[in-house]
Amino acid sequence: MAVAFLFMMPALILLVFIRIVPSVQAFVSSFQFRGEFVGLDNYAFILSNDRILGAIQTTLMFNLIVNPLQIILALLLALLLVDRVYAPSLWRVLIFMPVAVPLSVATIVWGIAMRPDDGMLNAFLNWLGIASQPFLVSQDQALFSIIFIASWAGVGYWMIFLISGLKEIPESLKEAAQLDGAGYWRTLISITLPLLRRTLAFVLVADTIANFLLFSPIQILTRGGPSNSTNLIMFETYRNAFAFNDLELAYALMIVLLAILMVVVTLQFRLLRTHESA
Amino acid sequence: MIQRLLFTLVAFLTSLFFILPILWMLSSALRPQAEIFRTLSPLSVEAFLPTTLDTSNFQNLLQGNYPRAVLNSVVVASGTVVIGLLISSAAAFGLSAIEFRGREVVFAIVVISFMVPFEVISIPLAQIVRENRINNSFISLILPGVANGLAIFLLRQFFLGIPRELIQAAQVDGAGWWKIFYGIFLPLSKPALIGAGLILFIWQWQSYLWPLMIISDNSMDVAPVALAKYMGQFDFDFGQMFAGAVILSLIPTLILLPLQRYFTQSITLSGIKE
Amino acid sequence: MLHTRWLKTFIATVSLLMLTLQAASAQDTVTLSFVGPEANTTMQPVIDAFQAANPNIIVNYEQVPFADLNDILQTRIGGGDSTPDIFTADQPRIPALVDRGFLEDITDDVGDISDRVIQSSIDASTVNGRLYALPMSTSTQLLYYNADLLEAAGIDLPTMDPQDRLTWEALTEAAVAAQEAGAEYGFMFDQVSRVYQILPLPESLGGGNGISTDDPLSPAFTNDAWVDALTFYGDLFESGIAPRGVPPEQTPDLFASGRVAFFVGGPWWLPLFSGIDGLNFGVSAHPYFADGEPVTPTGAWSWGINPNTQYREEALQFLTFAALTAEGASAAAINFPLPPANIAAFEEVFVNNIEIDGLGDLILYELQNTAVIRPLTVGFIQFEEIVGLAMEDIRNGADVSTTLETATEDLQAAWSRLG
Repeated sequence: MAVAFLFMMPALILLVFIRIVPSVQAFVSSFQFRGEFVGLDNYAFILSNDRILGAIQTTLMFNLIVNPLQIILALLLALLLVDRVYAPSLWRVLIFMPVAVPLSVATIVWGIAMRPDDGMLNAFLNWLGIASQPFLVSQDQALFSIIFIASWAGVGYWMIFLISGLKEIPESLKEAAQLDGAGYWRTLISITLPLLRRTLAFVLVADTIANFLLFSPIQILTRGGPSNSTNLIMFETYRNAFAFNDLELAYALMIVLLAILMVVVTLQFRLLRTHESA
Repeated sequence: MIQRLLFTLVAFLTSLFFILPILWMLSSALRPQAEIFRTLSPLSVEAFLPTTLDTSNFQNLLQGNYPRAVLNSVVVASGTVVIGLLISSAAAFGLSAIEFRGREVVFAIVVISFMVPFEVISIPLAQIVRENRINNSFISLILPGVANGLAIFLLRQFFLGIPRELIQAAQVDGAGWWKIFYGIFLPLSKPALIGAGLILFIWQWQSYLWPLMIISDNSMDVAPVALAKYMGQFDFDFGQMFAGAVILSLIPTLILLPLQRYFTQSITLSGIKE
Repeated sequence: MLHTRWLKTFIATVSLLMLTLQAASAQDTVTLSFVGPEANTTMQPVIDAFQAANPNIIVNYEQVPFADLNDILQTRIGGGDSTPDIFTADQPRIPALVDRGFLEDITDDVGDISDRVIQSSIDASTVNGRLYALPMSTSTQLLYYNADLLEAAGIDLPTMDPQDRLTWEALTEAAVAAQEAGAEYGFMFDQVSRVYQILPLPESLGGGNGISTDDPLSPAFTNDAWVDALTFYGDLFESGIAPRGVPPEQTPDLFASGRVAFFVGGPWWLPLFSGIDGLNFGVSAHPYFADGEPVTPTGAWSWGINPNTQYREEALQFLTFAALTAEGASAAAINFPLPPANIAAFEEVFVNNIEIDGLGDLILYELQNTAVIRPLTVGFIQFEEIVGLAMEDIRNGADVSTTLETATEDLQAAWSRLG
């Protein structure tokens, strides 16, 4: 209806010009090489290039781990800090602080903390009696180290949204369940989580998008190494666009990333099938 | 209750984990550069608590371009929130309260638009901005942050939870859509609006590449760009960079703290929901 | 009454202002935009000197963070912008920049400059016989040593005589001895795992600079010399002589805080090291392999003109002032830590400011005898990224031959995109 469009118009106009038109242009360019039409050549290059294929694999693995991990952590923190402690506002705000630090600086700090010989993280592990770990210089640990850094920098953000969502659930429903004899976890699973669905859907999708698009820690700390173990599609895209001046390949990579992301997000929407208003 | 105390202890320890690197930055900013790396290992309290109180890093920051840069960041982020909330909530309203065919498709397009990595598509966009001479302006910094698919998504999720009976009742009373939006939906949506405001603010606060590409006037630098300039080719000023980062991390945190209580208001829709 | 007086003053001021502005615009001032990674204070002297001599030209310098400089130049000039009019070009990237159309050909404008500028810098700014940027700085590398740590191990302090320089083999032995006597680390590179710093190792063994001599787009870093040199490199970290996980921004601190016995780094760290109480250090010549030749890294920045500029004449004026006149080059060099490429400025500013006797001679010797510029190829940027990654992988323990072979394939694929 026309009224709906009036409400949506300012946002849609901006979205169209700032995101959609450039994306379509990028899509068209992905079939070009140095301005000339070459069909699927760029995509063929992607599918035949071992390093890029490795990046696709690593990206999938990275997201398979980091998204559930961050959501579960954020949810646990939200459940803890919604009302089960003294001074909840203080803890929430402290856990949120990393979100406000410029990601590049946070990355540098964690890079120092993860120095294998003398970083603070190994100093802490040694104090606990655990041997020093290589972290970012090991092809087995580097990706997990990046996951760790990204989670430190982001979990507080998602926790805030989940707390807000939890607050919307009427106490009366939970109390009713408990009067019926349901314990904490039972109430959680059968009452709280289903009612949290809308917020969970948002947080899951938003976090997934953010993690698929993440590249700053890799750009600063590992540049895809060691031995290609932290190479993500988004970093390849960035490197080809900005360093190698290969814009068309970057656009093709972006389209590949977008395709994968759309599939994942669609699955997430299905999983947390959000209903229209009751 | 013992349980509450125990949980508070857990909360304290967890917060410590999140805060420790920031404390480290603060301590490092308050000591001479040569000392920063000396205390990394073995584990010592000295690394995390400011044992020296050398404020020269903070003083240098304040005398340079940095206060201006922080102000720029605050202005741009605030502008993004104000304009962005209006535009996003209106769009979310149109996508939730009003029913029309193809609504799901439009919403899908909104979400997809946010899946596109802005850094990559910003290259041609930056060129357009420069060609039209609107670079070096706050508005060109604000506009890309204002139409935020996630903010629209969040608000829409919330609006979908508002019972249709409210809308129907208002329509029976003769209210138009704008009245329903402004008079009913917005007042009920404080937590979601704060959430959307947070999304808009943090997107702009963390924004680095776009300002780098379109701002060439030093006095219009935003704070993250100003900070990056402390890592030169042969001059790595960790101390000033950390000092600046600590300041940056405080501002959204201090804004969030008082807004917390709006999260503690549960929506009293429960009566109508049942 | 007060009102009318204020009003009259106001009108008079406005009119005066308008007349002044009119006069100023009639003067035809040109504003040049200039992008580089250095702080404004570094560029101020040369800009001030130029503007004093050329009152109708204003040079507007903009600092871009070093880590993002290439990316930003890429988007601006790649987009066809007319600004920046002038920018700093990393010398080994010049062939790639020329290929992308980012640099203006200025050969005919400046002619033969070899009497005023160091030859290796001119070579680095030349593509197919044409000059595309004016050299501003060059570089070399020195071997710093911590005298206290060496003395504790009973090691003779190296001299500044380039004929008497340590071999990598001798250095390794000394490094180990220093560690046994208490040094935390024996040795460290400044720009660890970067092509600039590490290329001299295989070059010293005669392995070439990584690119085939027949074809600048053909990788050549899997020969025996490369494998030997990089095995040596990896072993330094494997054996604990040098640390892993410390990036180039954090390496000078290792030496400055007295934790490492030997440090290969640029002369620009001298002020930092000299300013530290209790750091008893000395300087010596860059090491070489006993079976090979001494090779030192070199090359730095040239300043170039954006082909889309609207002020080619004025830009050229500024560049020739800064690069080719003693006055301009000296002003540019005052606050800049690298040796200037301009010969007069090198002698007047750089050498005169060195406080260590004999160091100026050592630097000059290296620049004239052992300096080897990085490979000249259109694909240098891909080379630097991919080979750099391979070096870092080797540093972190990867098998040398496999890594070099994989990198060769990677680079061939990347270069296949260069049409």
